[in-house]
Amino acid sequence: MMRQTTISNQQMMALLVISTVGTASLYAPAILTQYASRDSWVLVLLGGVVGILNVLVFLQLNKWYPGKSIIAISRQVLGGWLGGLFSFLFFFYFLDITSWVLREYAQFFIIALNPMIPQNGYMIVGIIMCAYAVFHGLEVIARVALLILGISVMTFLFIYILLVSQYHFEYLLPVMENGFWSSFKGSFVVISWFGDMMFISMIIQYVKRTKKTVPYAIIGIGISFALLMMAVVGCIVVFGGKGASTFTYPIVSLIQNIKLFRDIERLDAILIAIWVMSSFVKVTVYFWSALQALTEWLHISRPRLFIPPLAVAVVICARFKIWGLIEMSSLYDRQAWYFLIFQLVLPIVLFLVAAARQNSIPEEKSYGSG
Amino acid sequence: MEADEQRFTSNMAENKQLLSERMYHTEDLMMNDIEGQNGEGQITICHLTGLANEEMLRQVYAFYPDHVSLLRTVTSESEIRTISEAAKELASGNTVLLYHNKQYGISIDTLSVQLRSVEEPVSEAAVKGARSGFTESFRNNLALIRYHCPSPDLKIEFKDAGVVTRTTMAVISIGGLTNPALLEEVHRRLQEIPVDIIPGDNTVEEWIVDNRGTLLPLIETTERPDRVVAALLEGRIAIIIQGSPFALMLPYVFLQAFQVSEDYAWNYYIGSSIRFMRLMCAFIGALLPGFYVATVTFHHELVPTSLLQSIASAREPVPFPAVIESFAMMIAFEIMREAGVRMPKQVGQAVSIVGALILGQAAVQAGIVSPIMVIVAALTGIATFTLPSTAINYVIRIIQFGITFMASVLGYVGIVAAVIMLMTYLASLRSFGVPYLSPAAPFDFEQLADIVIRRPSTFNNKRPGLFHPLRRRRFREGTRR
Amino acid sequence: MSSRKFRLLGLLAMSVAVLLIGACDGSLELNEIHIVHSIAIDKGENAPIRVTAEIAKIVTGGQQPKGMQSDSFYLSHEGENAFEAARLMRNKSDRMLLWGHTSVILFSKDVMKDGLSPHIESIRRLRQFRNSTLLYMTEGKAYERLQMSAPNSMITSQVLKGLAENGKATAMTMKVSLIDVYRDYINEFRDIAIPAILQVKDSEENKRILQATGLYIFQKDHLAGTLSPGQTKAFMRASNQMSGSLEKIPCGSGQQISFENINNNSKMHVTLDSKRQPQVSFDINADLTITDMPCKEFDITPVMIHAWEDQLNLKIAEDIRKFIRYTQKRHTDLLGVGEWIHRKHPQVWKTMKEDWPEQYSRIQPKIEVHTRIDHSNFIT
Repeated sequence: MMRQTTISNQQMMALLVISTVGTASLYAPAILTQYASRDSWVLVLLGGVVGILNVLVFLQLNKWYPGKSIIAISRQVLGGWLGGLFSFLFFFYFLDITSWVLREYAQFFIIALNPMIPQNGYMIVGIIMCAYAVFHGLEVIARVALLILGISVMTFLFIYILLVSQYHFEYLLPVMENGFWSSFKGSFVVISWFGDMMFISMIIQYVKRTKKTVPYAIIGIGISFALLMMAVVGCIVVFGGKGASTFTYPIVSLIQNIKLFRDIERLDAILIAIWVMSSFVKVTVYFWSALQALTEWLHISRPRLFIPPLAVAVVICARFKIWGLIEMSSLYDRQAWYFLIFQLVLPIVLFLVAAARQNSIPEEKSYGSG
Repeated sequence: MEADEQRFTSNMAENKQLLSERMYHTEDLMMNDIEGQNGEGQITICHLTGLANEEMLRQVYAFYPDHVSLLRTVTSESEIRTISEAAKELASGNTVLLYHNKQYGISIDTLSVQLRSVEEPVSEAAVKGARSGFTESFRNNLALIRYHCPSPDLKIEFKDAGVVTRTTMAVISIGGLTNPALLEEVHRRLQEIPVDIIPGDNTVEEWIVDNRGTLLPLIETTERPDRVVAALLEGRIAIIIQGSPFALMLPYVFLQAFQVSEDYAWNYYIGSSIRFMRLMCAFIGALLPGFYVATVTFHHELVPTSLLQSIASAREPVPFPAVIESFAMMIAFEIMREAGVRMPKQVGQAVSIVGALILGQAAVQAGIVSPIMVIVAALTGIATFTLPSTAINYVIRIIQFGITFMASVLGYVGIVAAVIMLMTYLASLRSFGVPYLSPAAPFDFEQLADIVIRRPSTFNNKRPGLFHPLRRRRFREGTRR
Repeated sequence: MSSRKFRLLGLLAMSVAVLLIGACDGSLELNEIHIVHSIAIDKGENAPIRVTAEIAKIVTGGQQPKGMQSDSFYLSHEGENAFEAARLMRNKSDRMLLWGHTSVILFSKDVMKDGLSPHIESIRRLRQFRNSTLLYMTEGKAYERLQMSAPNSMITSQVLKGLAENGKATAMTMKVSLIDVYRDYINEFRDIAIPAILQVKDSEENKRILQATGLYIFQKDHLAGTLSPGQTKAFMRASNQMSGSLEKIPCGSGQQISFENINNNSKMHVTLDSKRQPQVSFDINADLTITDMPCKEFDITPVMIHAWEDQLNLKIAEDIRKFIRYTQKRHTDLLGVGEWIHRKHPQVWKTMKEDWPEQYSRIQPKIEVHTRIDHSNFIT
């Protein structure tokens, strides 16, 4: 039985949420509070708005070119040479992000869980999991993602509910002590986190499009916005703005603050499991996107053959990419524009060119294609 | 095949010769010629001794030829025209009457084998609810289903499989409810079974599943006719195989493994909570040893201090790492379980004594395992027994070993990694096109609620849409909920 | 079927990887570790820091595990900082030390004289310590306090934990955890107070035991002084951390009526007056019950109750005023008044920040106490 690969709107939403919130919830509280201290929630707000705009760009592109990924679109819009270059850039970016995320998580587990297990161990196990899922294809990834979304959201809520007695909302005061604009220094970073959902340009063609697709995408960004907001505000109201900025992973410290029945503490080890899951989804979906981009770019007939070499490449790349955590977080901080190029700039260029072309050709393509 | 398709000729001697040859001159083949009385001509009655019921045979001999028409009304018969058909009928215990000069014969069902009577199902015992279980008798099994579902919509189609045995299978569905595409797919897959012998239901299952390398059962088996009927009314299809006391039911989704027909025999609060507990037991069964190993070797911080102190002092004399300890206990448990199944009932008592005393108490005293590990192993083992599906029960035990291993390598991260791999694997499986992990993935809240919670019958106005039945409503139109 | 080949390949890759990891795993069996229950940090003789760890003995044999009732032993080492000392201590121990279960850290007063922040930061940097680890300070040698035997518990950390729990009922000491101190210090929310541990003679037996009363207070980084038990109570009452205490008022003939405070609720209001000077007012509500009434000449009537309530109001207000006057003298803003000004008037705070200790010492607090004597325990 040959079935066409389709994923539902809900599943698309799950993929969007997990791959944006997964990493961001770890790094956002610390990095954002370094920029804006207790006013970091403004940054999250800004990121959410830009995130919605960003996702709308991709949805609009898909509306103009239904059934096509960003690779095919860039070919069609920009022509052979330039389109090929764009395709290559996107492929490269997807692969690069895969290795970034893999490294991020290996680093996270080493610091938060057990520094004695070698980094390679985490990375190899991680990539095997992801390669296995990529082998099974997008449908399976999407199904698992929806399950994981449920687990993650429940766990997040569980964490914040257990901490209710420790919230001091006065720590959020004073608001905007140094004026409104001083908080916006870190905006690049937060936009690049929300920009992590740019893989939607690869999966959107498989989404069974209904009237609700756009609302679902926006709800997805909304959920990740809410989760990120909870993470940031949660850390601030428990540790204070400056306190949160001194932790490597404030949310882990937040979990360590949970105390059940007087004696059960340090739940971080268990709850970190949700980051294993979200890391899995994120790496997988980018890995899949890279594979898909490669397939479409070079018109490969049996893409599964490329999974093992790409997996090995990702691990090696992740291993030697950067020296350590300090270098990594400072790079995220200062070189956020690198990610923004691929997440926002290139798609908008594409979007503008496509828009110019749309005006010259009579519009005929309709919304519902699949 | 050409030789097999040979038709009866008008020459009776030749017919008998061919039939005998086809059955390799087996010596229990009886062929008796009887002279017709009212000019009906000669007739040959063939049967295999032992298989055919003597009482029936006597009637056949006595009634012939005047009352053959009468026989037709009291027992099944079918017209046969080829040698191989006749041979097959004989092999199934029927009596074949060959008319001379007529080039055809009829077969009369005279099969009589001593089979056990309907008993309470062994593998699916229930405290409340129906107690009848299938037996090895094909006809009786079909009758049981008909009895539990006295509906004219119940449709039974026969299908032969096995090149040598030509085992009969009955494909049971409900007309106007079961999705015809599904039914067609089942027929197509049954058609394609190429094996020569069908020893039992599992062979059929292995040939017709979507994913032949599957670890998990993709088709449900049951001993209970009421369960089959419940499945049929959900739009699923049941297959009954001759000689097997189990019915196959398909499609099958993973979460159904936690349903028992008994749930519906209890109040819905009880039913729901028991079902939920079974789900928890599956988690305990799969994860507990791994969790223990990961906790005591990687994540000491999580344990309350006083408990850690106790565990540490209990573990102090044990010379092995926690993984080895837990593998040892898990294997010991498996050995006891298997011994318990294989052992004659009379010595069963001995196993429990030996198991409890030697493996529990003495092993702890000897400092081979720690008492905590004994608790963990015992709880894990008991938890898996709560699962109604024996197949899933065994699978969870296998998974348990893998997860424990991963836990010993990477701690909780290893457990989660193993669980994710498992989830991915489950999500990739399909049972007759239905995703195995549905309705959890792909997610469908209404269906999931129906499957996880045992809802009051009065609320269940729709059948699950998982199996694409033609009609979703369960109640009469306009029934007040 | 190419998929089968892949599966095989995947399996192979997996097993190789797992073997690789398994070869260098980071697991620690329970037989390889010692559980550290509490640590004491002192000034060393040859190095700046001396860390002493209380470690539980693992008792085997016997069917019942002993839990926290097992005995303990001590290891100590000196080093440049806490981390080094802890690392070097490994050389004296036959097993790895598991620091994650440390429930109490006891500092000596001497070591704190050099400043609070280096210790807190170095301890925070070790990820093993729990956020809820309790902090204590003591006069003299901290490790000696740690080695004192307790009447019931064999492990000193249990004693110290229990003493902190009692703080809520007696208001003589406070429960101060590592994360509280870290948060308040790093955010500059308020100045730090750390409970004190004393060594006292138990009146009945001629034995020395531990007692937790009073607080050590810091002005920013510097040890500024101590709070007496009475001041501690006032502090806890003012900062709304108290739930139970004992109050007494005289009732003539040298006798005193005792009240048990069963409930306390305090609100601090920080405002700026017209001259932009900070004003602090406290609004305290407390419920009390009569526990001892030795004065036979009085009946318990509503009129008397009101009179006592007024007396109590005055007394409690006076206690708090005394406590605040003391902290003003020491320039320690234990209640976080400065941070409240910061929160409400960030612009004013910018100018005020520089000479905040001076400003703080000029504040005249307004204290309003509303006590309610609920019932007498003896009349049912």
